Amino acid sequence: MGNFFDKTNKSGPKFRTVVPNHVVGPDIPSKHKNHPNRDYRSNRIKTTKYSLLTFLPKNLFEQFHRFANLYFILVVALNWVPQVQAFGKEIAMIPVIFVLAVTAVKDAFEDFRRYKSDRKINHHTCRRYSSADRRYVKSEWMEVHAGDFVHLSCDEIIPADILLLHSSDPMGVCHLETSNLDGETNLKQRQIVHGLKYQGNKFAVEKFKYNVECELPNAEIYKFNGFIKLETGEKVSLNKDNLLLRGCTIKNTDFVEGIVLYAGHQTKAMLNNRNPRYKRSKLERRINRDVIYCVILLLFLCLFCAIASGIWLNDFEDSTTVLFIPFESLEWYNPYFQAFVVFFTYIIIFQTVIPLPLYVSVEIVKLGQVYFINNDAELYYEPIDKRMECRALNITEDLGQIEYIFSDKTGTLTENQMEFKSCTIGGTDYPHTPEFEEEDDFSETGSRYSLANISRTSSVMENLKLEPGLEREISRMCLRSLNSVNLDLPDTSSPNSQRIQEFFLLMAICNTVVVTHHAHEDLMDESGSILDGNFKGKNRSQDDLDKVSRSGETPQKKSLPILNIPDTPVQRKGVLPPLGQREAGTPPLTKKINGQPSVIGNIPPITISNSGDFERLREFGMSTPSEGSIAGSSFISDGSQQSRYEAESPDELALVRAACTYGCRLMKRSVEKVRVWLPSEGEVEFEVLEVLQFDSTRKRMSVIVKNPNNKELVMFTKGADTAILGVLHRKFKEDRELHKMVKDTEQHILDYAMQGLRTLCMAKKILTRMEYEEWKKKFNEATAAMEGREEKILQVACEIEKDLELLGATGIEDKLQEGVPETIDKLRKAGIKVWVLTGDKQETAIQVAYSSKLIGQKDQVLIINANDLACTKDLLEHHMQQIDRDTSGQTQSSPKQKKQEYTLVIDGRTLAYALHEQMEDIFLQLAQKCTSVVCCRSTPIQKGSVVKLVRDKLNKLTLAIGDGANDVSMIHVADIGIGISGQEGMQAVMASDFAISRFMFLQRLLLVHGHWCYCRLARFSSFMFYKSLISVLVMFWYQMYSAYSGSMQFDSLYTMLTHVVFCAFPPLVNGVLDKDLSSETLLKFPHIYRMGIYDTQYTRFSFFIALLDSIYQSIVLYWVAHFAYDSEQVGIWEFGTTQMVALILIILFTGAIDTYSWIWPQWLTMILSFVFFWLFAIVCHAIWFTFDHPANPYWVMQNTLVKPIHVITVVITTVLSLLPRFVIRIFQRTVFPDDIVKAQLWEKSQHNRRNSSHSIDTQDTGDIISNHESRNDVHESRNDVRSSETNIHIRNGGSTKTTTTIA
Amino acid sequence: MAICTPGSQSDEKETSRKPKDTKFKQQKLPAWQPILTAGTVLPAFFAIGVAFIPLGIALLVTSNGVMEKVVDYTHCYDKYDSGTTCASKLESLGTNVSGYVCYCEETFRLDEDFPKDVYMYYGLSNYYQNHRRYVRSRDDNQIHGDTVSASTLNSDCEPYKTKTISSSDTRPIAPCGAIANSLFNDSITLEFNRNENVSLSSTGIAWFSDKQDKFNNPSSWDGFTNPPNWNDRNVYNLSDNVNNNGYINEDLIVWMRTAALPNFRKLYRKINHEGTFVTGLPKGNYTLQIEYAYPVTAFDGKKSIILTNTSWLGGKNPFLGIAYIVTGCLCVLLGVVFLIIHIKYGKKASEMINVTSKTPF
Repeated sequence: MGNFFDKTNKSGPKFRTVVPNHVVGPDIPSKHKNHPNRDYRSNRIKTTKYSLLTFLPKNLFEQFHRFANLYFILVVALNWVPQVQAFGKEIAMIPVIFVLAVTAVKDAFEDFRRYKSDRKINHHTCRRYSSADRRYVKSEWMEVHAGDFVHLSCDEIIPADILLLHSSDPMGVCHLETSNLDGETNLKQRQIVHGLKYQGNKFAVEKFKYNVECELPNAEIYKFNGFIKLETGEKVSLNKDNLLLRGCTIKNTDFVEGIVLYAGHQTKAMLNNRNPRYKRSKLERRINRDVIYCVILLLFLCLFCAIASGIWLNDFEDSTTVLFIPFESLEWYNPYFQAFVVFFTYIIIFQTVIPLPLYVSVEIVKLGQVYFINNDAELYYEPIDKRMECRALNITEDLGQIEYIFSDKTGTLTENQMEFKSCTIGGTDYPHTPEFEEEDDFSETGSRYSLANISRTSSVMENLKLEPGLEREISRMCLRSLNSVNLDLPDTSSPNSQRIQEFFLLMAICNTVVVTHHAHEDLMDESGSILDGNFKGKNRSQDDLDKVSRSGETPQKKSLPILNIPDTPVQRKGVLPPLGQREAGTPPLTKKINGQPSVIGNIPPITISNSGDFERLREFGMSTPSEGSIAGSSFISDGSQQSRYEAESPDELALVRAACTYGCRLMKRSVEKVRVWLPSEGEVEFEVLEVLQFDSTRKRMSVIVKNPNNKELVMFTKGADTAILGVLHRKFKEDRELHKMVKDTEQHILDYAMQGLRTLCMAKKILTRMEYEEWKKKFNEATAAMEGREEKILQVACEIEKDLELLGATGIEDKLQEGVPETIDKLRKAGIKVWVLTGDKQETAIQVAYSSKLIGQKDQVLIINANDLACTKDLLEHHMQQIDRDTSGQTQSSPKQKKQEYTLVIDGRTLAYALHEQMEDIFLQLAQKCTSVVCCRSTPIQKGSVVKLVRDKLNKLTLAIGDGANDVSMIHVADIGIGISGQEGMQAVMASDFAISRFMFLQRLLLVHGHWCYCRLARFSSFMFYKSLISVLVMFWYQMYSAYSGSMQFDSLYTMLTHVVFCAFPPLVNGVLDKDLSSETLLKFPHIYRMGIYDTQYTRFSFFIALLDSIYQSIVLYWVAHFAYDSEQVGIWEFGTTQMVALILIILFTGAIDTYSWIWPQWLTMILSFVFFWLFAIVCHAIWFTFDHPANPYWVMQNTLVKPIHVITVVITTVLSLLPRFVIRIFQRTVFPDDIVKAQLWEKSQHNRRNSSHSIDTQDTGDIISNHESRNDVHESRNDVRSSETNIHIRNGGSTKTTTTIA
Repeated sequence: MAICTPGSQSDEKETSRKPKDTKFKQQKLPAWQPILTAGTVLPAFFAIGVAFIPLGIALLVTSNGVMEKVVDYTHCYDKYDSGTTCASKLESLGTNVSGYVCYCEETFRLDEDFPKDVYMYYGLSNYYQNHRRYVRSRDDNQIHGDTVSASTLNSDCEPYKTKTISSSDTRPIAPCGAIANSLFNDSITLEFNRNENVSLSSTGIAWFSDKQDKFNNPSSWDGFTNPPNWNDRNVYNLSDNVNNNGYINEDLIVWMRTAALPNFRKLYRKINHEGTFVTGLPKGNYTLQIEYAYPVTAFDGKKSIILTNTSWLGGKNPFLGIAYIVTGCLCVLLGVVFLIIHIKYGKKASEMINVTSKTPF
């Protein structure tokens, strides 16, 4: 309805008007024609496809869209033509009905699950304002309509898209966790609509009488425009910061109130719900090709038989006199007409050449495979309690054929856990050489990652070894402030100290980090009644430290579930005693501070280290501070135990924590103010004038603040080096000293990048009031713009972000995930080419590529950086020639030497040229010769187009893996998209086919499950073809002896049931469970994976091999019985029954020959299948029934069985049929063993050795362990290895360390 | 500052999504994993060889022990019009053949005694009883003795479903369909040395199940007519024996069980082993007295009478014996080949194992 309304207004203003429902009054129902919001959808959602009534027709209609189903329906229909009819009409329908029924049951089940989840969601409750009761009442989500007011508490899920009008926060701010929507776990800040006037200046629902004009419903989560027209005619603009989106969770706010703008299916969350797309796997494409061969074969067989039947009939001089040719009318004796009719009869008879159950069974097999992948305990990641998730159900076997992997770097190869590593300030490098290596403790267990979802709300301290030089500087500042030295005497400090302080100040405030202190309580209970009348007023007055300290006393329980995290590794491991005990064990140092009243107003107390504190610090494993240092002092003032930082990105958190460690502590942030504790000045409250958020175009963010001391307006900017260094003030080029500083800083940045650190540049700018006012005007205009707002803001922001003064730069380390190097190593050995596509700097990318073994130590690195097309071309060609020269030289000189491997490194700009139409072929040629490729500084679109290029041009199977929104395009494009359910949210996962939680799981997913799934499905499909071919061919041979009349020796019931019942289950079980090699072996010999890449299991010839074998077997099957019964009195049904028994046996045994391992489900289905067939035949033939059968099969099976000739014929037929396949298999495996057989033999030898010696060969099984160690080695080699003794100390003392102070 | 996570560990474990560590779910069920190489399958080949060759020999011996005499009487001469064959006589009559009987004799000699039990088969060649339309052209309900009318008769019986007797009287045919219509209607008797009739039994030649259950006479024959080719014979006077008349006439039952192949034989009579023939058919001259009524020349068919005593295996047919012997020999031969391969390559395989375990891939 809403849609209809919207469409009719398309020409008019594209806005919807929402009238508050309490204005309309309680008498008019929401759907009444006088209701202004009547056309907007309610909040009830329905994601089901069918209802009880529509299920059958709708589902059938959908199923008939599939070609295969349509074909079989046509065949069934053909069977109803009396002249053509070959089978009993009803029997012919069995398989089709079976297939349709299985699919329908599957669809119904899926739909039912959707229905159940819909119902659950619709019955959620929330507090909706009832204009009748004049208060909030408890109501269900589906009762919410546009225009309703909703009251939400902390941690409550938002039921619809709501315009935020009131928040318990005095600044009108509220925080959202959007993980349900986009998966990002960081908190997003939302603001109430400012500028609305209420009577008495206090918001109340009844006072809100404005109509809200807003956009039509759309799917763009990050965009929202609208306005509220005031009585004065003034417009208050609304933007995305005012909108609470359905599905998100309220955080850090006691309660909020707002008006519903979009409900139900018109919410942005619902509009974003897209169905998973349908991908077809490579193997399935092959299968489809072979199905076409089947069609050709079918046509050939039918044509052959039709012509032969005409010829046969033509041979009789007067066929009307022949007793056994009973045609109804004379014209039927015309051979041409007969040939024509018989052709269609044969299409029905031979229909099973096209394996009807193939598609259904392939889907069932894949479901089974997915079940086992999902249930693999080794793909489960304990720290975040996530298992492997297969989102696409039909491309499991593609996992076994991947040739190219495109990986994101940050968050995929690395942890996305930022650690502040070093900084350069004013041209001086302060490398933070690690005192100890604590990370290894938890990188082993991976527990560090357990914080993934909460890491951004980490406590204030960074586990950082302070750099002595900086420490000295800062301590000097502190001393001055403590001794109340005149604050404006900067000249006594080193020239750099001012810059250092500013540098840390920038780190502390130029961000969006929020400090939280207390638990959130809403005084309104679930049913909407308010528990405490004074509640609102009280909240108002809490905007000071009292509140903080007061709430510090409030029970912790409430806030605990949200965000508090132990910060030390030891605590993370859960070694620490529970909360109470730890509280008791809080070191005296903290207590002392807490016990001490503030010395100078709000400025926290600072104590100079005493010997006692020194001792403690020793215990913590920190180096004794050099003379004059302030180590041991505490900067902690108020109830800091409850303070936590909540940041939008881990980088920011790392910076703030580092700044805090250096004593520059962010204490409180609100929209307009930010309170910081500075070493030299104590607590200072800056007025925040403007925040220019980070965006990917500018690649920087800025904060404009007013210094309360000297009233100076300062802009702090941080961003990528390219984004900052380019907009420095002129003097940095002209002034020699400053120029040198820039050069030094650049050098340091390069050094950091070489170490694999992520770099950020820091700069500031002092603004004059005039300058600011002028700019502010423009900025306000830009923000108020209705259209093109983003671009305008961008433009204005760039206007002020120039002529900056460089302060310095930071290097942040993003640790490699555990297991990454060996995973990449294994994947490379498996013949997979790994490309890393990253937005990082080239140096960083190369460094990470080295440490993750993407580039081997002996590899040659080809770097391509060019500024134009021609240059790119030259470089590409040059490298091509070089490689050609190298390889040709190599083959001549020493062919045995290991092949030189190349790595291509290309940066984003050059990549843009390389992806140019003229260049892509050369680029690909070169890239193909390289074992790995690193693309740095690449944009999300480039990532997608690189994948597309490889996928389409090289026609290879590609896999893209990433964790962030910037990887979505390549995940979409690749044959297989894998999302890492990590820190950056769910967008990647939502777009992916498979979701894993660690990069290292990729090796198990591909090498083990990929291999298994591919091999199983390859064998399964060729078996399915074989199965249908043999049963058709055996009937074909019989045509030669039955006048090409379309006679079948088999009961038509059996023909139909063979594929859906008698021979259906063993291949299914094999397809899901058969295991050629154990997972350990597959991981040990990654090169086995190559058989998937080269497609050795299901080749172009697989179908023809199946065809050849089925031709041979059917010949044996037919003629052995033919000759054996030659001098017998044998009826057509006894003859057929004997062949049927042999046929079932042959099919089952042929499947058995290609079974690698036998576990009980295989034995069971195999034996049961035959026994069932056998008993079915006996029972069926013992019952008198004339179920449209050419002749009643009464007692045929029994009469056949009693004759010994039956068993003798069946035995010889079976043995003779299986002989060639068996012999060829043995011959292959003995003389030309493939990798699987070799590995199987190896497995067996290991097993034997183990049995004989009763000891595990550590050298063999320890492979993974040793790899793990080597990974640690890599890490340690970069840092100093500390003695193990120190490590132990840290483990024991770590907890106390973080609760006290920085060192 | 840092506050310990309160959620007790045990709580988390309860709701953990960790997959269950069962052998089935982790695909670690104990498996039997045969590696099919020459070495491992050698015994199987020899075993098959050892089992099949003696069995084949036994089958061959059994088959050779079976006595069989085939007498082709397609072109036998008219007893009363020497010089012309019955076949050509019937042919000259064309479509008016029904009802005409040509009498002829075939004399043959048994060189050996045929021990009992001896059976008399008739054989037809090039006769496609398995033609799709022919096979379907019957109504099992009708011959089961159920009440059927012209409308409920199986439409596959066309054009032998109903017969128009007069313009107002169209009756269903009993039994309907092409199979019944083309019932083999030669009558054959056997004489020993031209003076002693061999006593033949016309019952006990059909399947017990057919005679007992599948074929039943209806309560009444009224309202039916006979198949067009039956001339004036009716299904209820096929035999004088009440228990062998109507649908349960065994000649009809045997005929109705359509043969699988175009050259087939059907059991015609059993020899009653009494008197001279108590131990079987002694060697000597025999004469077949044939009432030749069944035309086969239209489709180049052949008719024959087969006298044979069967073994447990069936008729005289060396095929299975030879097949077993050949397969057995083949298996032994393959076994030898694999033995050679095993000796030659088996060592290589073990070397290969050593290589794999040491070289890191």
